[in-house]
Amino acid sequence: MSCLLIGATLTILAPAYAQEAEQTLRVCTSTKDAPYSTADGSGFENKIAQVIADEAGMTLDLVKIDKDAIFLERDGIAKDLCDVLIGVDEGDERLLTSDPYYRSGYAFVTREDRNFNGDKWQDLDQEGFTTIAYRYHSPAETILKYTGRYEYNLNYQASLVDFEDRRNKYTQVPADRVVSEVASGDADIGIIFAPDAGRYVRDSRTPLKMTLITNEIERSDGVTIPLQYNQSVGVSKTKPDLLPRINQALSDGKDRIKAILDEEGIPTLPMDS
Amino acid sequence: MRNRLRKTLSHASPLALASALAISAAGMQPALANDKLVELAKDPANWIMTGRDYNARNYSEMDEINKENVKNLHPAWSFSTGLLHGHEGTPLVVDGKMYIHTPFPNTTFAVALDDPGEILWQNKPQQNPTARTVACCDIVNRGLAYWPGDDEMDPLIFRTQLDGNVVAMDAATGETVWMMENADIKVGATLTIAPYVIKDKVLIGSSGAELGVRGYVTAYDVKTGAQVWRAFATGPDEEILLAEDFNEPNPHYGQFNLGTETWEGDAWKIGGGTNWGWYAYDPEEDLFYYGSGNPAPWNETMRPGDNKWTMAIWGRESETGEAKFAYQKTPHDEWDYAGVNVMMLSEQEDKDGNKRKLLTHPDRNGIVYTLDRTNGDLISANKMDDTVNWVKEVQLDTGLPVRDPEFGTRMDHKARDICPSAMGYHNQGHDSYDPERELFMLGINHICMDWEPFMLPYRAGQYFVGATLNMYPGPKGDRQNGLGLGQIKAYNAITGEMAWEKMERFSVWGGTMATAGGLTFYGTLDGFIKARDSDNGDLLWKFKLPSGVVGHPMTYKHDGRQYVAIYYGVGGWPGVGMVFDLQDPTAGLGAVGAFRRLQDFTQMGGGVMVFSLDGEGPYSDPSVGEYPEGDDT
Repeated sequence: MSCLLIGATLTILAPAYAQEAEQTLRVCTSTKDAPYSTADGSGFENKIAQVIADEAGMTLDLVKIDKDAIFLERDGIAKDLCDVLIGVDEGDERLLTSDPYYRSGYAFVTREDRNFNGDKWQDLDQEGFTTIAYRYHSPAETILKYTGRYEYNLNYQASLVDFEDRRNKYTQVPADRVVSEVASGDADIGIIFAPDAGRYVRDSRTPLKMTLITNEIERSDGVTIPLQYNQSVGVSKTKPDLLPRINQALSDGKDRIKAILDEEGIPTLPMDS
Repeated sequence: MRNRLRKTLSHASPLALASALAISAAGMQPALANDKLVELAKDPANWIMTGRDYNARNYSEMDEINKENVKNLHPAWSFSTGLLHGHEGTPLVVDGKMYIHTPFPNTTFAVALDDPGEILWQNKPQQNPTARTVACCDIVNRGLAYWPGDDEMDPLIFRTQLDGNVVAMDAATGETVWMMENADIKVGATLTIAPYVIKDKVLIGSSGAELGVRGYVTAYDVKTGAQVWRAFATGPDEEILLAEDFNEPNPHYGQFNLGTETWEGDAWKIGGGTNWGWYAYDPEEDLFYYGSGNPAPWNETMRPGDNKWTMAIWGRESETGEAKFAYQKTPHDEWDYAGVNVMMLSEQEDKDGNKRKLLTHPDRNGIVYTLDRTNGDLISANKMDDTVNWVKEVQLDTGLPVRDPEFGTRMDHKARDICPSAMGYHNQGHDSYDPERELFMLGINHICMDWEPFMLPYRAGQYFVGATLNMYPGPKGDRQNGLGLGQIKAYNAITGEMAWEKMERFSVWGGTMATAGGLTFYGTLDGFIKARDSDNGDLLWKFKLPSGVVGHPMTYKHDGRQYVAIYYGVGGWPGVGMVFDLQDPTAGLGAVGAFRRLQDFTQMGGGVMVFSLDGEGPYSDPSVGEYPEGDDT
């Protein structure tokens, strides 16, 4: 429990807090999930959380958890430290999920001067693009495997986490590292969920090109691995009353959220694409 | 004057290496170093390789120290390596000198047994410090190898370095003769295994399976460091180096194309199967024996198939590296039962009264396997302890383990009390064989575990598969107090019976040594060296060392006196919590929790302690090693 930094509340709590918990929007947020959320609250999901709280007329309580975001449901929601996660896949079975508020996908990131062309995942397989930076545990790994690049690229990829032993341990490449590797030319290409990379591509001094991948992966066992995802707000199953309020807040704050995503440099897709 | 090749070869160009190879291949009769090593091993004064001789028995014919007088064993001298962390393996003694190795930074020392108070030489390498972060389980090293020299070259000492290099040093001066990169730290490969000399080759294994390293064993020319052959554990047969008659006597073990076919797609390229344990060698058969380790990645759901030839006992020809047989003990490992443990060679009569050449291997999976080492026939496969439960039995006719699904680690199942734990009932300890009693003296872990797999989804189709591991004493230990984590046993490989067995507070991690004096010596994690009666296990003597033991004892003779020596220096996997100051009980795959009590008994240290009867030794004459008197004019 020593790793939990609880109660870093952004707004001064009213004395009525204890009696009227439903007036507080308890959002679990990771301190290690840039660009989504950060310890100083500058992540774009931190901002979206504020929009939702404002629109719903609630007080935002950002419960900061000093672990990777992958643990937020298990170590936050399930332990009743909070009720809401700002960014989850629509239909995440562990939670109630809101109406999706944006859709984006995996993307190729290259230097503009490399003249990479292609928007299908199979297009990774072209000459001159052999060193590939990506984030572990993502469909990017599947793309590498299905294009025959995974094993050859493994050592380079492991160097991005200093060969830290991945045995039974969540090890991850920071999102900005994928982009900076491409910018520096150490990687020929990056494959990353576009929202992970938006602000870093936007801010890169070396001009970079981000291309959304347009198709899906049909795995050999018949399973389809989508490369485009609707993002929703996740709500604890113990708080079903919260869901309609959040849906209403998302609807009311639509323009403000869009402004945040645009400012972030995230390429979005039509919701029904 | 001997021709010192080192001057030209220490930084040899590929051209120089090629020509040196051509000379040794075409020009001269190869010197039979193995004969010299066999001869040297016959003299009980020496301890010339990690397992004492090619049989890897850790057995000494000496009986000066015996059941009657072992109570009079006292320290004769000691040596601090100046390093903390786990001191695995054992020092070598040859020609009146002791050669001492250390964990990272892998300094090598030589001292004279006449006056070990003066260091003859020390060779301290400069290593890439990232090696420390790449190593999975403390920064140990398991020992040195000795090559006795020939007409053209002086004797050499070999060491491995954590950063993946192999180094040959002049045994007399400690000067580096050559250095060769066996494994690239930049690809996550490290080295902890002791080198092993056969004839004029030095064999080196590999470490780092968790980082996608594809395991291999390599033979280098002792004189130049030129690679002679390399054999992988996975992949195409021509890279695994399979002999034409591979597994012909036991086709049910599997024969050809399995290094690729038992993997999904190209997963064999990152399939693990490194070997960082011990070797043994039969000069008559020209076969050497070792075990390949666990498959990668660690999580079994990621690698469907048998994953051959990880987890196998190998018999390979030393000349060519070609495998005559391989027997996979744990197909599709689910528990991290890395199969690299010691192989001990014996000649015994089987149940039908036929004298056979045997190989006995106490595996991490809790089974002691005995094979006919000429052809790989499975002679016996018995549980090290009746609490082993992942497997009901090993079928001798098929060689297959019959699993108990209750103790598997599949995703939809929370397994409680799997025995052994991922650390195995036996780990890297180098055990011993007493040929007189026909008993293997086994140092055992008595540790079980809970294994709760989990899958955590995250946005955009990402997910992480992991498991929470908790380790604790086996059913015979004291779970309340976290003690009773080890055993010591005397095993008969033919009958499958234990002649005797005793519980220990902690694992007997480092291994054992048996002697003709009727004694079994071993060190304990809490820092004792102990001697038991090899006939009944009675405890006859013990001494408290400065720190816990993860190495195995050795014995040598000097000036007509028998000595017993052992490294102290707690660490290795059981000590990861202490050496890296970890608190989470599930860290170190659960080792931190299992050994939580260790810090109540010992702290870090590092050195060699040497014992003799009444502590007699080089300094019984106090003038030895003194500043000369009357020399002040």
